[in-house]
Amino acid sequence: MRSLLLICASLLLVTPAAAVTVTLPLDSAASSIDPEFAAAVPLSGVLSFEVGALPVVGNTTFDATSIDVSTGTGLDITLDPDVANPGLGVINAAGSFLIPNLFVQLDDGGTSNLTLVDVTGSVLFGPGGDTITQISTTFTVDSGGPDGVYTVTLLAVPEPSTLLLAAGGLATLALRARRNARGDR
Amino acid sequence: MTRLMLAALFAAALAALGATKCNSGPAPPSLTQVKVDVPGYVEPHTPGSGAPEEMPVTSAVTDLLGPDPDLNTVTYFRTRFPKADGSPPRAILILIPGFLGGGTTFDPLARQLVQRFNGNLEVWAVDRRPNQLEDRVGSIHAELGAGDANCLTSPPASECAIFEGAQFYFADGDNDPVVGIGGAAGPEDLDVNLNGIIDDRLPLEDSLGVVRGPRILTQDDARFLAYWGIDTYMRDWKMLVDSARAIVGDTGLVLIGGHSQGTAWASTYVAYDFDPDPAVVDAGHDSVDGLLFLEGGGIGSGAETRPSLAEYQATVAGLAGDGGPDVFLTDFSGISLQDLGQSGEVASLAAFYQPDEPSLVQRTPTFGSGLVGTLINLPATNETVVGLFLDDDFSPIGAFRASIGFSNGFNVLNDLDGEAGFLLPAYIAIKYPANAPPRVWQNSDQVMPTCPPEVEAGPPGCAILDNGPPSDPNDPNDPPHDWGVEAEVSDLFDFAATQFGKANGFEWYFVSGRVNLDFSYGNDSSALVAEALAADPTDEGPLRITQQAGVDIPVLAIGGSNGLAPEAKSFDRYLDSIATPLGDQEVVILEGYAHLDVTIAKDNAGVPAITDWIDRLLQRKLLSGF
Repeated sequence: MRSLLLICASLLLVTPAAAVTVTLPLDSAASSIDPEFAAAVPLSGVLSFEVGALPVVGNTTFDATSIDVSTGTGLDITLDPDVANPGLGVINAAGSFLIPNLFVQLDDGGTSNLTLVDVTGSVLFGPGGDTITQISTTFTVDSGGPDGVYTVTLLAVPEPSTLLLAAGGLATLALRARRNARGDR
Repeated sequence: MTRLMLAALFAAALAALGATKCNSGPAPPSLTQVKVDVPGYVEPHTPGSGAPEEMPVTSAVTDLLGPDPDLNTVTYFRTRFPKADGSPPRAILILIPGFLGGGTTFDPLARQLVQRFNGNLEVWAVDRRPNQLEDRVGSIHAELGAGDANCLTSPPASECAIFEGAQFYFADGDNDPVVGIGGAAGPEDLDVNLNGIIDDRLPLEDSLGVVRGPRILTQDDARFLAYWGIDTYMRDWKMLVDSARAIVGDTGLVLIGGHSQGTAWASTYVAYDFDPDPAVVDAGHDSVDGLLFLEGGGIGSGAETRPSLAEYQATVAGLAGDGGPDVFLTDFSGISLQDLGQSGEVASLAAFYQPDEPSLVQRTPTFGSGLVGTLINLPATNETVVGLFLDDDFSPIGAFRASIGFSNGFNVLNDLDGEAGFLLPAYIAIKYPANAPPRVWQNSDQVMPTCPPEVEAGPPGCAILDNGPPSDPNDPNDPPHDWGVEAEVSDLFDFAATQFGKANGFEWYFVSGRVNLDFSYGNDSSALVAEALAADPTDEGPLRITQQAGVDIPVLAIGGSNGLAPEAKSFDRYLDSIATPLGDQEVVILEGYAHLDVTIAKDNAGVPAITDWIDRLLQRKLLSGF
């Protein structure tokens, strides 16, 4: 196990920081659009971000590169294709991110553009900070009228099958490490 | 919740937020464009400064502005969309208009940008100081009454406020010797309010409660303009930049830009040293995060021979003295600018509110006689006259061109028979029969006639011309020229709306004497500064353009292929003169756009480029801490 970590560490040392793409599905049970005066509707879909470098040291870029979110009732939310870089943002080492202008397109049969301002959220880093295991954000959209404020909550985490696979892998590594410690080869 | 319910709720939210399928259409209710007056740089010679050097004002100025005017004022038009959480915008774009232009010329572009950023961007469009001197009593009266019953009939009643506003500026003309019986108007007379009588100007009540006629300043009424040069303007705008910085903070953006000659002003700002201490530099480029050029190539290298300090001071003293050289521009291409300012506002009001009525402005001396009257010598509707004056298919003045539609009804190629070929593409209406019904205008939302391929010269027999390929981008000796297929992208009514209301988009008193003197130094007045310091080591002198070589901020330059900066190489001279890395120099050419289209186009193709530029700069700024 130690040798594995050393190899990983040495790789980190010799590999220049490069942008990392993170793609996570939404947890439908925890993602929703919640009108102030109506029942919440669950959201499903996939979020993709490009992080300037992992682990994050100081601040780096955190760009939404793909959003494919649906209510399941005919409303799809994607990044605005008319904007060259529709989701430019920044993230700090603590895992907080800010996308000052998130340009999205809503499609319910006809398309409309909407700019979401000052979208903030947080991520959870994996061990060593070289992965992202969760992205969460909550923001509001004020209708400015009788419909009140919409609260949008997004939680993106690995799918359960992915989690099981990862857990299995970790368990295998732990078991092998324990055998090594006992000299049980 | 059903799909329909959700869609309906979202639609309501989107409508409230101004989300649209494109950038066109009316602005959302929360978007505001208001005139803001704030104290400006205290130029000591200027009326209201309170300094020992303050110059006295004439009665014409006090009649216009009251007994104690303070003209050290900065005016800008603030376009904003309040954010839902009340937090400030993250970026403010300050824009400087071009030659003879006013801040409202940016209104359509500002609306689209602010709407696109949903409140995270504000646009502050500057009106230069001399706009304070315009007597707008007539146009304000006209606009206030434009919706009254007298103005809604066809033809409007002679008491229509738009007529009255016009008559405030223009007496009916009597084109001797054709005089009607009993002094009534004859067939050639200019009868502004259509009452059949030759009327004098109509006095109206001003904001001071005084009933009076128009107050048009003479050169000697405005000698203080000798001190409104680049230094004064730069310090005005530095105050705006500092105000903007206080709003957006260190991690926000303050950007400066301009249209046409406004790019020269903006690029002078970033090259200016604001610190009065000769040992300290406070460069303009350090106070802003980017420079935006719209259809202009920035400040040039100036005149070959530049005045010495003594010559400079003597010129200023001459400008300041009664009977001295002109301090403001009186005419352009033979047209009185003060007359054009008045008639332009009246024409725009009439075109906006009474587009299909016979032209009002043609019943004024500016358009009814003289050069413009000769060129647009045809009966036309209110809308058509504005179109003929500005449209790229008709106007001979590139700086005044926009793609706002077309006026057909006869084939110019056939009618002109080549007789007036030297005027092409100029005002085509010369040969239009005088007894024909008023010529009408097709706005750009209608189908425009396209030139058949065999029309080589492309005179205005059609609206959509193919100007062929651009110059060789790799050949510096092949100058940039119009290219590509023209587009009809601007709405005449959008343009007209920029010319009245909170202000007009025109500068009646464009400061020429002092500004021309200052611009003769181009992008570098270091020699003048050195001369001043040699005379007095504590004084850098009257003009401090010394930081051009240090300009290293990002630049986005946007041109129109049918405009005055039609190709990327149109910006080379400026971009080659600064220290901005190549990666931060961006040029976008909008095919088919004429000079004014970049500020007034309906679905402005420059908006996505500006939006992306600002968003990338904002991300870069936030990386320093958020």
